[in-house]
Amino acid sequence: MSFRLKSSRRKKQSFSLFKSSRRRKRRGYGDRQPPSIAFRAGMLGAMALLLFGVLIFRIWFLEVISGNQYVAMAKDNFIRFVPDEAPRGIIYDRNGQPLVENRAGLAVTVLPAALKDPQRELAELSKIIQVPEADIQQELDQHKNDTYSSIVVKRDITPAMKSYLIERIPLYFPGVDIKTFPLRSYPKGQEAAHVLGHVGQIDQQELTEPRYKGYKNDAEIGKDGVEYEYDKWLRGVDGGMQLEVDASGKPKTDASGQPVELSSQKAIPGNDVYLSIDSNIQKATEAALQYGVNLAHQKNYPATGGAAIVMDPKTGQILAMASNPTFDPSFWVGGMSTAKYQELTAPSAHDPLLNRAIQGQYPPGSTFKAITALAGLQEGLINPAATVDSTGSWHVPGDPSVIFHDWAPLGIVDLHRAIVMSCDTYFYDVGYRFYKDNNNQGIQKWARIMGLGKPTGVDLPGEAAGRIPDPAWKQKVGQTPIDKMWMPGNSVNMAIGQGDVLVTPLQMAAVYCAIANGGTLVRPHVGLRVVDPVTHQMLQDLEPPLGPSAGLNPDNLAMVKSALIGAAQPGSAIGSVFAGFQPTVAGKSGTAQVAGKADYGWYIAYAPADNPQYVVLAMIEQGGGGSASGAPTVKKIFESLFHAGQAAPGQPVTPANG
Amino acid sequence: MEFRTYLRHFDYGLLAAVCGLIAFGMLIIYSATHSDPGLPSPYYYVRLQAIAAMVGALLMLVLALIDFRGLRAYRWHMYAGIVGLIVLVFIMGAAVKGGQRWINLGIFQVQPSELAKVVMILVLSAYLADRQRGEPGFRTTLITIGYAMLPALLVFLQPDFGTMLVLVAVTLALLFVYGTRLLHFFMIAVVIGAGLVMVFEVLPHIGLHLLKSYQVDRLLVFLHPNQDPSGAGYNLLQSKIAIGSGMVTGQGLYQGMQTQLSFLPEHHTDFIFSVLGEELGFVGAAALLAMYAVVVWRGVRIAIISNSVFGSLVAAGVVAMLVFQIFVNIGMTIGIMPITGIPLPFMSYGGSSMVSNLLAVGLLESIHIRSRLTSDRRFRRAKIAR
Repeated sequence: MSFRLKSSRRKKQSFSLFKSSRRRKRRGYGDRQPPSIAFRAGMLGAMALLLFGVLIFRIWFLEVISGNQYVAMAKDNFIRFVPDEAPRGIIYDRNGQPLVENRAGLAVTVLPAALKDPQRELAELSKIIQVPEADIQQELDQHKNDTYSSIVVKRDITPAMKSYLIERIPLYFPGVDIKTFPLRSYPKGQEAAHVLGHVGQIDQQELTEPRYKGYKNDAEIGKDGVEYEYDKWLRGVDGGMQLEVDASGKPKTDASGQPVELSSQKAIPGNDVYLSIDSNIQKATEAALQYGVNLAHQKNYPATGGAAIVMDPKTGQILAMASNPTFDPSFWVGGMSTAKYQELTAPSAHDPLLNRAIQGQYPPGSTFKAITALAGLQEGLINPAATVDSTGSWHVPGDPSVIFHDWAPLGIVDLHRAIVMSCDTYFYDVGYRFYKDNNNQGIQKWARIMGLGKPTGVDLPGEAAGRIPDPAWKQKVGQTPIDKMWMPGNSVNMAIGQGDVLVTPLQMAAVYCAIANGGTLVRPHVGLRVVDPVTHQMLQDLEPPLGPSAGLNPDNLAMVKSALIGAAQPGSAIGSVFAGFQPTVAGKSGTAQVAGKADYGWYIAYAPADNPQYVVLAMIEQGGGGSASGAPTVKKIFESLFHAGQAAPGQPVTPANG
Repeated sequence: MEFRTYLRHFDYGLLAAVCGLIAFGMLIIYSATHSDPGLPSPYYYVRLQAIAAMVGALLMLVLALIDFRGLRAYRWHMYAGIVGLIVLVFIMGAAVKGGQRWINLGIFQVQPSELAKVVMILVLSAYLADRQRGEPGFRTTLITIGYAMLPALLVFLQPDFGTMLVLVAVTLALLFVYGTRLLHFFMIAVVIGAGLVMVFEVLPHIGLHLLKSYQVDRLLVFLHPNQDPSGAGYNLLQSKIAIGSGMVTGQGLYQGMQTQLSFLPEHHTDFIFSVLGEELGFVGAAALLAMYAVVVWRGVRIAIISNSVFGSLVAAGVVAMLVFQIFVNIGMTIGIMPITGIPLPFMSYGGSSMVSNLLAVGLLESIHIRSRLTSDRRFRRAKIAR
């Protein structure tokens, strides 16, 4: 820029900037331009130059110095990751019947940045999808830093709701979208709900667990049962694609109308898991358990629930596992409402979510006598021929202050008859003999060998350990010096499965498996194998090997087994429940007493007695004695196992080899 | 003097720079709008802009050939006319984006406030040139401000805050070039400062909101743009992302994601510089500023070589008007100026703005031709300077 001004003149002018120039007036330039105006116009140009300099400096800073940062921000703007949730593997029963499948679910998502009038849109959306506005807002707030991602506000809407929304989205809800994703579905309804478990979104606490290292914060995970246990196999690898979207979140499309994918990764579906559960047996078992509970109700017992188990004693496979009351696993699909959850956890609902077969701990009552008998025989404290006189009550010799009652006066009984008639007096005496023998811990020892007092290791989460009391345990939990001592009464009560003994139904089923199969310990399990969903090749054998031998003398075991056959026959403690039943059943009832509650009724049996194929257990909480509700439940299950299907009556149903 | 003589004395440097800017602007408008949904043709905006430019060019030519000095006599007619037009906007203006700024003439709309910028340059220059014989006293300053105040207030009430600021800037620039004492500027600054405090702090407390709340938000958001990224700060943030991601050479014409995917709002009007910054990068922005620098240089030069006070003042006023609009518009897109809705001269889409700016260029050309024709001495000097 050239001012064409002489330097001497410029000096004068700069002076005149601050004082009005008198000289200018005197000279009288008239309408001719005085030099001051030219100079000031030049100043204006200089100011313009300065302002342009400021602009160019700032632009240089934005584009050249921090350009990379803005390029990244621009990419965040227009590159949207659209996740493609991998479907979980399918869970089959042993015969290949699907127990848990997938279906296409519809979810409503909101893209906060694309909302034109958030308050109005969210209020109206809330009405349509029937989710409280506060819940939607909370969900959006959780993703506040992520205004360009679609946020799921409602999972699993009905097709009717979908078509209603789809029509209105372009006009009224520009930021709302509907996407499909796989959801769990249960073709068998409530069947095996406790075994299967359910899936749900990972929560904050789970995210911190090492088990879930590397999981995304919205991952769907198995929350219980097989879904939890074999989550690693069932879950697939989520995929997704990067799309280019415009400011309203709409993907850019190519000439044919297909979204332009910048990159994409196909979701890899999870692997399928086969269970040892037999859907038919499971169904029959659940029906029988409900029958047993109803039966107890008819006999005016509170009967707050129960458990039933069918196992293969040769392998430890669980063919059926039922817990009553039960629930519908589809409650969790798409998120359970608070009201539903409160309904399920209300005291009056009697814990439907609890899997009583592995999580309920109960005194085993007389079903424990088989263990006491084996322990007595193994330790040489029982002479099978020796008899005891059952008068209806018993006391520690020399101490009549504490009376131990028997359920009936049975007269002279030996071991066989004591088991058949479930004579308490005989086993009080056995228990006392253990105590007298230097406080012999033989019962505890054999109870533990048979698998009590610790989890069975079944492939289901949340299993309880049960309890086999001993002097060390009393020492630990006792409040007073006397409390801490192991008293004769402790041994006596334990011998009949009372006192402080606690077991889970599955533990007892495993004990009777070992008795039934000739003394080999089993490892109860529901998983058979993991199979690739495409190639159908086995990826992993889930079956544990059989356990070691319990080390029982075959003669002792034979004596107990023969007594168990008698105990299921007419004229035994359970009466004529199994009268005329083919094949021959061997079993033992139990009536467990819990202070302040009605009796817990147990029945554990196996059949055919000479070559056991099934061990069946039923336990009814507060359902009266074992013969009142337990034994009829077991009989129902046996009927379905051996007599189901008119085509081959009486023929055992051989489970397909898994 | 015949037509050819006029043409020989045309400032072709200025004309070339302005034509280059308009062509540049149409290219960027095309890039910004060709993929906008719902357009009858990808050239829709470009075509309208071209028509406006042609109308503007014609008027510019006419103005260049007219002796600008003759306009001095009509200053009161012009003043009354423009004030009347702005008042007319209130009467029959159509509501456009929260403001009534347009007069609908059937086939097109006219924005009198844009015209007011040019007219007020002429009116105030004419007044100041009259006062030239006397001392540039306080009375002159006050009366100048008084003349400017009426249209400025009317424009502000439309509400067109941006144009009001341009009028204020032009008035101050004319006073400065005329030779007003710095003491007066200091007093003006105090009054404006007090006025701002009143408008932003005092009056809202007693329930009087001179500025609409969206105006306040837009004005203040550049101070803390990250506070509300999806609300008032959205435009600014997206603009900065667009410009920043242009880096040195830009994403390429038609390749700017911020622009093409509509993240950038108002991408063919107020934020057209952001499109340029994204697609052509620092190089493109520097080229644009260079072209503006040529226009400013020619304008300042015309102010200096003009053989009349009136001509110098008009030329200086035009320069001040253009520089202020350029600085505030670009400054707004890069976050150093508040968002006021001032268009970028010759670049932003908008007919009234285009025509007004070309009229202003016509004034510069007229002054240029006149000063060369009437003063041999200056004529020669200008020739050497070239």
